[in-house]
Parts: sequence; C-alpha cells; structure tokens
Amino acid sequence: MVDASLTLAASLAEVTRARAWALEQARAAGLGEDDVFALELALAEALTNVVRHAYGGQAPDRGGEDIVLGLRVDADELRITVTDWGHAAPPAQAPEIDLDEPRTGGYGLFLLEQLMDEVRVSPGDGEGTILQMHRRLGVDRP
Amino acid sequence: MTIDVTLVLEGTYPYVTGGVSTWVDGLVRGLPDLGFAVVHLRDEEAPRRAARALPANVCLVLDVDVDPERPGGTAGLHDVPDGAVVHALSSGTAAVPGAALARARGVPLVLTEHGLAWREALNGTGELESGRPPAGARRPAARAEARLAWARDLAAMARTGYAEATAITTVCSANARRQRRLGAPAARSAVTHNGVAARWLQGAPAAGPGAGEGPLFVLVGRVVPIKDTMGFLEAARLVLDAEPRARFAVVGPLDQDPDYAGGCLTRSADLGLEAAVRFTGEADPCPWVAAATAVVLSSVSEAQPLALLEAMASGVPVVAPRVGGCPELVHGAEGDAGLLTVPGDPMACARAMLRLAADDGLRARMGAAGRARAGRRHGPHVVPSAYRRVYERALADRGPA
Repeated sequence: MVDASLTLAASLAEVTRARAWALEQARAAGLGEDDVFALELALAEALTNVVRHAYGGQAPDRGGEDIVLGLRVDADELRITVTDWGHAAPPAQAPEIDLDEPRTGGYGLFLLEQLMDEVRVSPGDGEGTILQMHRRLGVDRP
Repeated sequence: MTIDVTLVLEGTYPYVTGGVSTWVDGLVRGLPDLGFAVVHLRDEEAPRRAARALPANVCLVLDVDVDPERPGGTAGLHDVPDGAVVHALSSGTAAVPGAALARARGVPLVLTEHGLAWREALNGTGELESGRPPAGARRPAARAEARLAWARDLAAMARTGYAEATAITTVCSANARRQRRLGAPAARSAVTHNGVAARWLQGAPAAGPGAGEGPLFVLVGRVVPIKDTMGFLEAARLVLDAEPRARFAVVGPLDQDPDYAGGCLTRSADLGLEAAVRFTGEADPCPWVAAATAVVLSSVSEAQPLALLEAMASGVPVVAPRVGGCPELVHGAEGDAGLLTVPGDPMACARAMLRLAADDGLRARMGAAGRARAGRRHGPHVVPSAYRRVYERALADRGPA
C-alpha cells in the first residue's frame, strides 16, 4: 500500500513539511480519520522531540539529512520509524512517572504509547536513536 | 450544618445538566447527614443560573474564577470555608485547586475522574466533558501541537492530584488502568460504579413501542460533538432506508453548543429525517426510554454513562460505542445488555439498531440481563455508600486532627 521514507533537516519547519507529507500518504492509502489523527499527533510529538532534544533545537551540519521518517501502511497496520543521529537517546522504555515531580516532563513516550499499540526505542548504529511505532488499523480502542 | 465535604468541580453541578451533574445530585441527596460546600470553578464572565434545586445539606455554592486576572470580584480559594475532606471532581483542571485547597487546610483530598480529560484531548474530542474546547483546538494549523500541549497539561494536572490524594476514584476499570499508567498508586485507587435513581428500577420493565408501531430508537444525551449526534442522524437515515416505520428521538438539551445543535437540525432536514427524528430538548428521558426499542449512544468518548444505566434499569437493550466504560456495562455475568459498535461508524450503529428491531427474543434477553445487572451493581445507593466509606477512610488514614 505505502512504503516510503522522507529525509529532513532538524527544524520545526521541516517537521511541518514531514507531517503534511505523511498525512497525504496516509490518506491516499485509505486510512480512517481516527488513524490519521493518531498519526498526526504521534508525528508531531516524535519529530518535535527529536528536533528539541536529540538535536537540542539546532540543526547540525549534516547536509539537511538529520532525520529519516519511514512510513509503511499495510492492510491492517501502520508502521512509523523515526531515525536520528543526535545525542540524548531517550530511555528504552517509557519511564516510570515520578509522583514527587508531577510537573516535570516525561510525557512524550507516555502520550505516544496512548496513540500507538507498540512503541519501541532503540539505540542507532553508533549514534542516535531509532523510534519504531506500530498501530493496528481500524480496530476499536476502548 | 457544619461542612463535612468540600466539592471542587468545574463545568457541572449545579449549573448544567448531564451525567456528572446528576451524579453529584445523587451523591449529596444520598448523604443527607453530611454537609457539603460546592466550589465551582468558573472560566467565563457570564453569571450562571442553577439548573438544579439544592438540597438542604448543600450549605453553600461558591464560584471561584479560574482566571485570577479577570476583574469582577469573584471569590478565591481563600474564601472557601473549612471542611473535613476536599473532594475534587476533575473533568480537566479541578485536581489542581482541589490539591491546593486540601494542602492549605491540612485535610485529606479525594480525587474523582469520571472521564479522563487528557485522554479526551488525545482522542480528538472537540469538547471536554466540562464543556470547554481544548485551548487552540479550533485552529487547524496548530491543531496537533495544541492538542498535545493540552493533553500534556491535563496529564500533569491529573498527576498533581494523584500525588496529593489519599483516594483516587473513577467509574470503570478501563479508566482505572489508564490512571495507574499515569502514576496513580494502586493502593490508593478504586473503581466506584455509577448508580441510577430508584425510580428507574421500580415498576415493571419498559414495554417498548406499542403493538403495530415501528421501532423507536432513543439517544439520551446533550446535543454536543462529544456525543456525535450527527453520527446518530447518519445512522438513523440508514435504518430508515431499511425500516421505513422506524422513529428516533434525541432527548437532551440543545443549548449547550448552539452552533452544533443548529448544524444537527439542518443535517436532519437534509437527510429527510424531519418526520422521523424528534429533538425533544431538555426533557425527562423516562417516558422515552420506556417506549424505546433500544437506547442508543454514538459518543466518541464516555466514562460510565447514566443514559445506558437508566436504559438497563428499565429493561431496555442498548446500542453503545466501544469507548471508555461502555464495554464493561454491556458485557457481564448476567449476559449482554446490548450491542457494541465502532465509534464514528454510522453503518455499524445502524446495523445494531436493525438487528435489535428484528429480533424480539434478543431484545428481551438483553433487556432482562441489563435490568438484572443494573439492579445488582448500579442501584441508587451505590454512589452514596461508596463515598461515605471513601470519606471515612480518608479521615481515618489522616488520623485524629
């Protein structure tokens, strides 16, 4: 159905462009509105995190090839892969939330987990991070 | 009367009708020996008129403006008199002032979330249970960022409440699991089921439509986007194409989101439903439920809806979306009380209505199962007795003052 990728620089303008690209692909593949909405939110969260945290808000000198966004839509599953070469790899699992510090962050992965059926974070090849997210399509989520 | 419980709530009792407001009414009336103060968090300029008569044990209703910058001299939290327990009913933000008040007065905090506001923000619900749209949600360009920021803020506010509360409650185990994932400690968490007023369980089960009449499908709920009234209309059109005698009623106020309600009336006319669908406005749902083939919800988000409990108590089968606490209500040891549908899918909703209309035996079995479950688990006393225990335990855990 769809198996495509997009390379982008680490900037918020590029995040906007990548989201528009992904949504167009997803709609063309016939995803329902709920699934498109979850994709839109997940990409906003994941890509913005990479720009802000992995790259510290500044695009490095990598010739505009800082993030690779992979999008695959099968009949029953949406797969998103976000690869970066920045620092600050997030922890491998959603962190336990510290109730003594309710105002600190740590919501990024928590929110992604709510939007997707599976979220996996692994170290990249030598540097950076690979974020993989799966969402089953057209199923109920009570 | 001394104040035993200070309720901190938003966008609900005593100003609007709807599930949470009815729940509070049942709580305060079911505990007549306890004195209640109601702290209502206001986020708008216009003064409000109480939609409900207050019982004698509601000693005071205090409007507190959530925007301290706004001129007009409404009360602040420091104006709230002392009570023994603070009970915050959060549909978004009330956990934070509730926690602040409990801490300032050195009293225990009980936190109840019917729906989970951060979840509703992520679901794309255009309106939170409190009636407020998430900030910025209507600006399409900023939609995803605004949603995420709002969901993050709401999650942080809920966690502020979890950190302070001696008891954390919600109305279904689906929500309890999500609260725990967000950090609510299991030892302090409990599920407290909703209950229906006694009149729903008294008397004979509902008779349904009269002999020779077509099926009647009744949506009980405010005409607002979160209930997806528009989707119900689409489903009604599909049912009518297959069963021209079918009739429909939307029983609930039209004034909570006038633009949306106006859109629904227009859509109803465009779909050629004017003769088949009746919008009653605010009305007693009891006679409608009693005459119904099934009570139908098409909501995109629900906690443990009273509309379903009242239908079940009346022995009327339900058609409900697979969201929030609906599956736990429909399935149970007594048997299925109705059919579950996919939210946002009018075809699925229509199929469920037609299936019930066509099968007298199925309808009778589901009606009886629902009535048995409602009688056993959702009677009029479940909420007051559960919260009497919650309050007593919160005070005992805190020890003598």
